[in-house]
Amino acid sequence: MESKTSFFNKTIFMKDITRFWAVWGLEAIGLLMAGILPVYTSCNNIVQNYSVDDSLEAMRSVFSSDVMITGNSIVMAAFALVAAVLVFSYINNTRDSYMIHSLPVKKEALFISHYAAGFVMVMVPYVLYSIILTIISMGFEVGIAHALVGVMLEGIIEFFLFYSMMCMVIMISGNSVIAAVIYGVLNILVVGVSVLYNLLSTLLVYGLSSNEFFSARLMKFSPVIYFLKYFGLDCGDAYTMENAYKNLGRFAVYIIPAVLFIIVALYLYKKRAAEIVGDTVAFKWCRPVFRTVFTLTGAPSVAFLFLFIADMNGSVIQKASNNFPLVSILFILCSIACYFISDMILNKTFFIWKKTSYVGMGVLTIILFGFISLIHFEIPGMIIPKSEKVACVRVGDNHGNGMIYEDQETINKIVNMQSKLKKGDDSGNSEENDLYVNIEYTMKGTGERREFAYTWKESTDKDNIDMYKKIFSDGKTVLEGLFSTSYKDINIYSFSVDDHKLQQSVEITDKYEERALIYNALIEDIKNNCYDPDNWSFDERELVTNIDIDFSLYSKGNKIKNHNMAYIKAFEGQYVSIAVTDKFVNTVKALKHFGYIK
Amino acid sequence: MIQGKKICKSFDGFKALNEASFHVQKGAVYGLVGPNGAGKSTLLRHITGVFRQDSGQILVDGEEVYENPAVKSKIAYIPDDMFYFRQSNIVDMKNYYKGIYPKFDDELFEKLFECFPSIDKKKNIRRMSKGMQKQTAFLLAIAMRPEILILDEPVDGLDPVMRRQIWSIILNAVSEEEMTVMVSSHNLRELEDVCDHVGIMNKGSIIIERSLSELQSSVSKVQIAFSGEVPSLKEELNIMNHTSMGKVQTLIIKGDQQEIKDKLKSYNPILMDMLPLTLEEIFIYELGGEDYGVKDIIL
Repeated sequence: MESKTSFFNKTIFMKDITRFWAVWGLEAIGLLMAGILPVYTSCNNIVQNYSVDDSLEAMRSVFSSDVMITGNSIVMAAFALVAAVLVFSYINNTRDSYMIHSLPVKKEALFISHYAAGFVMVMVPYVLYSIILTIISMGFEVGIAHALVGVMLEGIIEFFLFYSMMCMVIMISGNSVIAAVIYGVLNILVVGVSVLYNLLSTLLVYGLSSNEFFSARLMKFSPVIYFLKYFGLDCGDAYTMENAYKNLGRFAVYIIPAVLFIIVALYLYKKRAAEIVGDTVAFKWCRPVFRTVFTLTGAPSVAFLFLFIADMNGSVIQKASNNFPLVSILFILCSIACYFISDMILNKTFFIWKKTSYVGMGVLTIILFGFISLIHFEIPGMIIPKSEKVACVRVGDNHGNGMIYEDQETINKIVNMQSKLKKGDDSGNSEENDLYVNIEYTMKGTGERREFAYTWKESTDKDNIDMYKKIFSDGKTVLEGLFSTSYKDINIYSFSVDDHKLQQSVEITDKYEERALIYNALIEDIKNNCYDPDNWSFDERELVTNIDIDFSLYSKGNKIKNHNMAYIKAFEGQYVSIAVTDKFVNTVKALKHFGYIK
Repeated sequence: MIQGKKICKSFDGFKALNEASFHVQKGAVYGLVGPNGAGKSTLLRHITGVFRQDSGQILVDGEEVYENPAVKSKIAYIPDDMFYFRQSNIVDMKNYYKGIYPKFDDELFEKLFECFPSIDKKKNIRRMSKGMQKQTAFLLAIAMRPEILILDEPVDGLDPVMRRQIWSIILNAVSEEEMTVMVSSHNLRELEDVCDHVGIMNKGSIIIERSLSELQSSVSKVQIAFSGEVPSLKEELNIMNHTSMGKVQTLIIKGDQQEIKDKLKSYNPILMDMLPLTLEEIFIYELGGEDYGVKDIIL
């Protein structure tokens, strides 16, 4: 009998629970065998065999691993797919659909009853497992009960989001297989698009080697990846109730889109016609959307797949790099192919030549071509960033040294230089005096990074080299780039000098006076233009010794309060290796004084 | 009781229902007949609230059917392709329908079970034969105590004994409880025995809708012979079909029987015999006029 509320039917709900008993039954057994029992036995072993001090940490690690396996976003996304496909399986089967929709039950009640059944049958075993796990942790006095509760709630929110999303996708599609594919694509669409964009931009833009544009700012739109980053127990000593619920807050935000998905799913279900069973998409307006997304994401994917497969000897991608006409032709052909394929899928027939819309194909191809062109012609700010949006820039060579700047003047110079660079000569073998330059921008706000790598030959790329070196012609600029503007007061972890007598590297980290004198002499020499940003364009016979310094900027106190976070982070674990030549007059003098060189 | 007014429905540009209109009175047994692809099953699915029409109305006791649980709870539907949950036996299905149909009668269900002795209560329905599944469907449908019973190819797959049994139960319910039955079938001989109203459907429309007796009386089969030349009868009579075997002409004529008799007598035939037409013959001749007739093919 229908309940008084009329939005829920107990018979339908219970029927789903009973007929899909295998799902929650297997889940319960799985969680028991792979979740509860191993934790209990491991904790028992630890208590018997470990010392008191070590046992707590060891047990926490056991719990941490366990919850990561049972509740991570991939597991929850998979459960959501299975549950949604099962409870709504009737709408993609003609006979079942006709019969269920002839019942005297409103569509709202059908939807809510089935939805509730799917949710309950997956979440009840999971919650029971979490409760038992929490009780075990309390029994062993592990002290992470609150954290386990927090993780349980995170898992529930994950499932709620993915399950609602999958229910919405099922209402859009008329076919369970297509629904599963659409669901999978939706979960990784944003990150996937950013990867494609990254690949495309590195292929087309001279020097670009890495581009995090999109991924940092939009990862939140790929929850399966975003959740993986934050889900789980933090079992360190720093883990507090406050941390537990702060992390939970990141997940709680996703309740809103989950609720929206349910509302949209219900709306679509009410609008959905019973006769579309088996169609790829359930609504006419979905068809152009499907074609567009399929073509615009499929074409670059297919193109890159082709390039990677064809690039057996490494020559194909090299030929395609910065080759706009070749890349354009490849992408246009892939766009046409993907458009045809999308139409074949929609119409469920191979022979769509007469039915397909060539105008639509043309429009999408032009859009894709336009996008490629925008990347190739480096629309301002899209690839080489606008200098006012840069938090800091790191300029380095292939030996590991990097100079880091946050001042607008230097950033402007570097960005201007990049805008004027001529395409380098990639042909031929590498030469002895090749200059390898890495430029890495960290953007304000998102913190995303954009990295460029150039190889310039002295013989053919002199203009680029000159432009580059002109920026670092000032010794003070170089000094501040190497050691920061707080160069007088950095936090040194390690300071070593090549000792020729001993023919090995000698640590003088704790010899504060010696270190201070050598360091002061060094910075004086660098200020006096002794250090070449190229660092290796000197005669080997001029080399006196090497000084290697590991350091960071002081994080406490007022030392670096005026710097932005990207700048401070860039100097974390910074390493500088200075090849000291005869030009480093002060440094050589100090080193001789302390006997490290003759 | 059930009224359809100019119902239109298209699927991907194909017009399945083209201003179909019909009226089924309370307590009637309405036979819906038509050629393959006429739209019979589509129409039945509209009546049971599965499909929503593009335009027009389908009313049961004056109320729209679609998304109306109050109306749909009065309707029991047995489609040609039946639905049962996997791993369910008849008791599981009974419990399911009992939870959904407010008038489901347990007692009646048990009583009816005696009429279907070959059904095993514990057996998985999907593992039963088609005929047994049909019997199960009837058992469950009648136990719902519906006011309206919609049947699509109902007795297909049933043995003659079960057919009689089922029709007996249905007609009993019709007479005692004024249950309205709408049945679609190609077995016109059987329909002729049970229906009191007939709707003939073609190309998405109901082309003829009448009581069976009116239908049978509106078309006449006449065997006639003339001594001399055969007069031209087409000008005066609505002849649907004309065959001859020697001097004997067999005519299928539409119109009032008495008028036809009087007109033919005026030609002084040497032989004239009016024969009853079966529903099957009416169906064939009516649709022959709609360009859906038997075609002679020379192989």
